[in-house]
Amino acid sequence: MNADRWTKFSYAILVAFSLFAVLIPAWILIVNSFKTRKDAAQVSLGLPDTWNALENYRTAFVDGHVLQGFLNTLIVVVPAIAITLVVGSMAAWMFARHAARTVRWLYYLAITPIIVPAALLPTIFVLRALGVQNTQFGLIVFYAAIFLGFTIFLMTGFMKTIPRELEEAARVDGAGPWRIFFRIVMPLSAPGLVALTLILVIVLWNDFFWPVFLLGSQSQQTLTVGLYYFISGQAFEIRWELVFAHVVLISAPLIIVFVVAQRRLVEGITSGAVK
Amino acid sequence: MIKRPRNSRELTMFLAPAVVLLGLLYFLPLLLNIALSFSDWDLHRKGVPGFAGIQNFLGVIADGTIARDVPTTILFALSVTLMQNALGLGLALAVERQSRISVFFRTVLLMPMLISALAAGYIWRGILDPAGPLNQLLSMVAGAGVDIQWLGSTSATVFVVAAVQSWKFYGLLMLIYLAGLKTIPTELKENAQIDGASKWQVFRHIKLPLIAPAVTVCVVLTLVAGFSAFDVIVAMTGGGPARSTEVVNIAAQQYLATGQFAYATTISLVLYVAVVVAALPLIVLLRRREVYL
Repeated sequence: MNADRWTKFSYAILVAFSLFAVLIPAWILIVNSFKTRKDAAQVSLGLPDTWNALENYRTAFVDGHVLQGFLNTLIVVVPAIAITLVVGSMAAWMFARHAARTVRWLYYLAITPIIVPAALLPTIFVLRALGVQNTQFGLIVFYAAIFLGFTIFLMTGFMKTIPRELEEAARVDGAGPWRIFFRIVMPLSAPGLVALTLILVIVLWNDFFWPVFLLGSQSQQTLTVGLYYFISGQAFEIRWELVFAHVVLISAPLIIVFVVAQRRLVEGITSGAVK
Repeated sequence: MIKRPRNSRELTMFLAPAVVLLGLLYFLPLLLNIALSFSDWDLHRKGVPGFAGIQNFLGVIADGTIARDVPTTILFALSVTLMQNALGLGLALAVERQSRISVFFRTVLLMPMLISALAAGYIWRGILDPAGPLNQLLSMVAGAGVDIQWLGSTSATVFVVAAVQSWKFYGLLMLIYLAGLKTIPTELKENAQIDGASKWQVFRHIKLPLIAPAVTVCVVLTLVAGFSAFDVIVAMTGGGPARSTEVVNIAAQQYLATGQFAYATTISLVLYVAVVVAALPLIVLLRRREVYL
């Protein structure tokens, strides 16, 4: 009976929290993005008096540079994650298979970015010295570097759970380390890699801090930076109907991907990629 | 393990790319940050910056930044750590059982994690407007006009912003806690229940000790993220009202904007020291409480 009461209680909490913390805010976001300027000057719960959806979304899409932002975000996020996954997994494989003291110390150094955030100003300094300041390439390699910490931490843990026998057998058969890594280790790490990729996509896609400081001209701006400039451009009052339309547009891609891939995300993470 | 020459060649080959990337783009800037905090680098300085001793540290103390922003940052980070872990763990326990309803709620509950922190900040700024939807809702419930200044209080707004930061990021914690809960053998819980343990006792004496590793990861992650928060605060208050939500990262960005580069690196250095001082003992402390099966 005890357990039954707990079940009812937990459902009550879930319903209340989902309603007030997720569904009502989502309703406010969407409904106000459909309103006219006058109507949305005051954000409210009610439906629009006059529907102005198409006009708002068109303005947000064009003046908020959504298409350009979308392409720019892809150009940065995809290669950055690819580099971090490959380079990080290579290192993680070594960390998972070697127990020497120096290797262990290197491992602790490699995961420090999880604890100590990267330094903004000197990074700009270094990127300038390398001749890649204010470029997408600079942001890509920087992202690839700082997310190695998290990647190595998760993949080392994951690869330790992969039995060595397959690798040993391939080695006896004369396979080289690259072949073993790409043909055996990486495929066996797929569940961990999928979960990690989804987390990295969510983090990098939504990041504001690094792109706003490391990218140069507005033509390189990512979606989130685009939102910031879109609002900063509204000089005197926030145009909530346009801001919310922009937020809906830039959030839609990830939400769609998530709804399609959510099983893998939840299962991937809960099946031991994160421990 | 028998050491073979092939091993060390392999080690070098596979570790080199990570070492180069981390060394050049993470550790080098970090070391430079320490050096630059003792330099006289600013907007007007051309060429190599000179040595300025502890001038910058005296400067950020004298202009009141340390005394004002460091306590704010610590308060903000601690609030986020508490609220976000309470949400993450509480919701994980609520959707733990395998059922269709749980899967539905998991999907809904993960939504805030998917939008950007900047967007989350703007959404809540709209909702929390004095004449906005939250006060409208409260007015309906109260039957009288409610006009709480959610973002206008120099003492309470920092907690409101911390709550929004927690709202944006609890999803990942919920997943990590779910992963931890899944590793607990069902027999253990069942046996305890047969022996007459209450739900609370099962949680307190079985679940909590066994998910301690997840608690370590989550507490450290949220604390570190709380210390270096930026996006949510920029969108909601920009550091106001009256600089009451100005955390160290916001101060660093303001120094950057005014060209006081050495001050910006100095205040960042203070942040790193604070993060390490807070995180390392915490890792040791929480590790000690972990139980392994």
